[in-house]
Amino acid sequence: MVSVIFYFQVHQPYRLREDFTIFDIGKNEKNYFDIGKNKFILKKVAEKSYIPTNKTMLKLLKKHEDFKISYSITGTVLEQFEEYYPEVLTTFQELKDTKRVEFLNETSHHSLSYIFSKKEFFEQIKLHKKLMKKYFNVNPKVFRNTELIFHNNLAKDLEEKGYKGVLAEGADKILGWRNPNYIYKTVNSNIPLLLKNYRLSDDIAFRFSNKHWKEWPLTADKFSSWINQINGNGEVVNLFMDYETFGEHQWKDTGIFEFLKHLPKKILEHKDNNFLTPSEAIKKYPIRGEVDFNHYVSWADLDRDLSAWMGNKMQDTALKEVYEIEKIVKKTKDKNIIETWRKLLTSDHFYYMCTKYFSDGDVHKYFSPYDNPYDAFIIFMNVLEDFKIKLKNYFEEKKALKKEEKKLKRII
Amino acid sequence: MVKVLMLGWEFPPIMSGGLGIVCRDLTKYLVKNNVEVFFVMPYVPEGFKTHVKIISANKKLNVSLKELKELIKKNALVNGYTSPEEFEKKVYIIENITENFDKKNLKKLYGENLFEEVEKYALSIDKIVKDYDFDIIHAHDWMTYKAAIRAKELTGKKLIVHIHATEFDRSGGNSVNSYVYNIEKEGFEKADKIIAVSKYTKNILVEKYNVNPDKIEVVHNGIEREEAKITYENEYLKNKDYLLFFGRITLQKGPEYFVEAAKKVLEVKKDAYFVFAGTGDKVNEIMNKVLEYGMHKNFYFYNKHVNREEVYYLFKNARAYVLSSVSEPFGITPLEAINVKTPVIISKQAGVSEVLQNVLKVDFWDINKMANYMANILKHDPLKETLAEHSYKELDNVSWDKAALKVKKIYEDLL
Repeated sequence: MVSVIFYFQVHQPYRLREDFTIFDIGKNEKNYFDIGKNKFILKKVAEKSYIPTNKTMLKLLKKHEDFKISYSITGTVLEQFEEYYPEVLTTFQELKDTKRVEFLNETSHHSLSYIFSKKEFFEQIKLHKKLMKKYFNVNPKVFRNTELIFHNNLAKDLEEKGYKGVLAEGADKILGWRNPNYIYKTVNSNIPLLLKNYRLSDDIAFRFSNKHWKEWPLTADKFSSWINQINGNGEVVNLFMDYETFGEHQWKDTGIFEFLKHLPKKILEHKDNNFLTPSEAIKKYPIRGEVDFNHYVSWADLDRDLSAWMGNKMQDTALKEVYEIEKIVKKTKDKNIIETWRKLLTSDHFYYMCTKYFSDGDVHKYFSPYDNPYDAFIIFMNVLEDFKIKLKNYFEEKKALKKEEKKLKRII
Repeated sequence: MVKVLMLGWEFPPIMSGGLGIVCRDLTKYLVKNNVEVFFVMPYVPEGFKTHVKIISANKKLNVSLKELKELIKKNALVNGYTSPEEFEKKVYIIENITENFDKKNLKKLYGENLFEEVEKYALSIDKIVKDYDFDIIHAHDWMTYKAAIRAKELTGKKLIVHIHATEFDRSGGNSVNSYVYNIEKEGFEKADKIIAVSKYTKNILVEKYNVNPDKIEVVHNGIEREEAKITYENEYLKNKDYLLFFGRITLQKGPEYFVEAAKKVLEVKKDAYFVFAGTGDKVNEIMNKVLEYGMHKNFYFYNKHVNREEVYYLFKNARAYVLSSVSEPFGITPLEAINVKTPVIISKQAGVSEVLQNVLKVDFWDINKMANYMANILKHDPLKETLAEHSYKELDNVSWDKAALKVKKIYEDLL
């Protein structure tokens, strides 16, 4: 028996406005976030990807009663759906109503908080749970961290919080000779792990439209035959990818939607295949092996580590400076201030500052709203400094207010 | 082995601006890649030897001064060249004067004005084409185009004209000298192939000279990554973290945009410091502007010719180098700054921006953005360091070897 587990990541950040210069710091004239650009991108992705894909998924779920899928949807994209394109939310809710769609838990702001502040991390996952309750009336038990960032310690922490399972990257350096098609656990905990089959996942997510790839064009027939081959050599096939794969990373004219339409039927043609949600898979299959995530692994870049977000001096400085104000931000107890700060924690800001392959014009450039990593840093630091000034002013105003209050009391 | 008759105007140690360095480095790598080069110069001091055979045009000229003057008159040369002083300055900037180098002699032989010189150079070609055996002609910038066309007519050999700077770049689009423009245009027309130093320059040729774009190949300049030996030190600048303007202080280099941006920077960084290194016809105007804005305490004027070692020193000690050019066909100076690990802010109107990614690019007129970059680079060490580190690595892609191979391929395709 082989069970296919489809998991899709749905996320959009709040991009910062490009024209926030050093001369705008402390002026209180500009918003931090590029409302026009964020709205535009959300609308574009919604129309090219989210809505048509959700419609396709709904049809597939209605057509094949054994078809199942799962999502994690970040808080930052949910807020933008509600604000700019509520129809997307409705279509996700329709999917949920089929009862064959599982929603996973992650950090509300798609942040790197696990690495920089456990306190913030737990607050964000709690926040995200609330959002899941609010929008979908579900209580997720399976976790996936931002960009599949994973470590033994995270497994332990999640186990202690009572999670039933967690998703991670099936990196070669972790698995060695073993394949990702079984349920594993880490050396230090018993929480079940679903490890991404990155070869098969990337065949769809990255290689689908690559005409130089020897398997091009990829058909549902061909792909399901690869799934069949796993029979006898595995129990789960974890196909994890960005949801934007459908229609945005792989455009409609590549045939990605046709592929998707035919895939469940083709996979189900083999009697020993089925689809499961992450929770069902964890329940159905036993843990077959132990893996050691003694360093951080993610699904980003070829390096599959943290180097997409940290490592150069700009990234490290920006991260340090934004996290070191956590205490004082929270001390305000001001919803807006805390929320703004959290939007600055979104990992995308640091991804844009990556210089690793910049000269070769790689995916970081493709996803970045800015011309180069240096602009990303400059904009972020200008905004952050303005934010720090706002924080300072907040406390000064409060102090002044208290003084006034005292004065008033004396008079009355 | 391809044999090239190369017509040049400058060659270190006889140089002005970047053309000489470009010719030296390009020929060095052509030779390395098995191309034989005969390099013609207006004048070569006695005993001067280098990696290519250098031919002195003045020695090949068999006309008396009287005859020459007649010739020039006959050719109805324009006398109103925009800036003869600029030419004087350019020609007599001499570095590393060699033992056999006679400054007075040079002055005499280089002639009274540029146009006379251009004509003399063209006339000398008659004997040169007889004396040397070559397959192809390669000419650098308009001063040599008359000679190049003559060489082509005399021998029937294929001609490549290389364009490093057009009259539009030099004049900033104002008061284009028609004498120069016409020579350039004729050169482009008579050439079998044109090498432009950037896409930016290629566009100028297409738009302003009506050249067929298919005839133009872009070959970006490279950089010779020599270790900069610096023994020079400037007491005054020693501990200053300054933003550097370096180059001729002329319209083309956009010094006024640098000054306006500096004014904005000072709004947010009161201790910012700026260095102007170079000379040019706009020095007084720029100084007055700085005084008018009350920024003189934040400015240092290195108002003289700067030798190589001083250049390296100024680059190396700068917080960043800013190239604010209004129109720069290529612009080799940012590469020199990067080579001593100084980050650069460069005008998008400079061809060099086409070969660099890890730099801050700005339209020369976008003072707000230029100032934003300048102030942020002053403020954030990580920005400065990451830029410096990555642009330095990137220089590996900007090599003369690569450029020379491209040029060699152009020769081979024509033969």
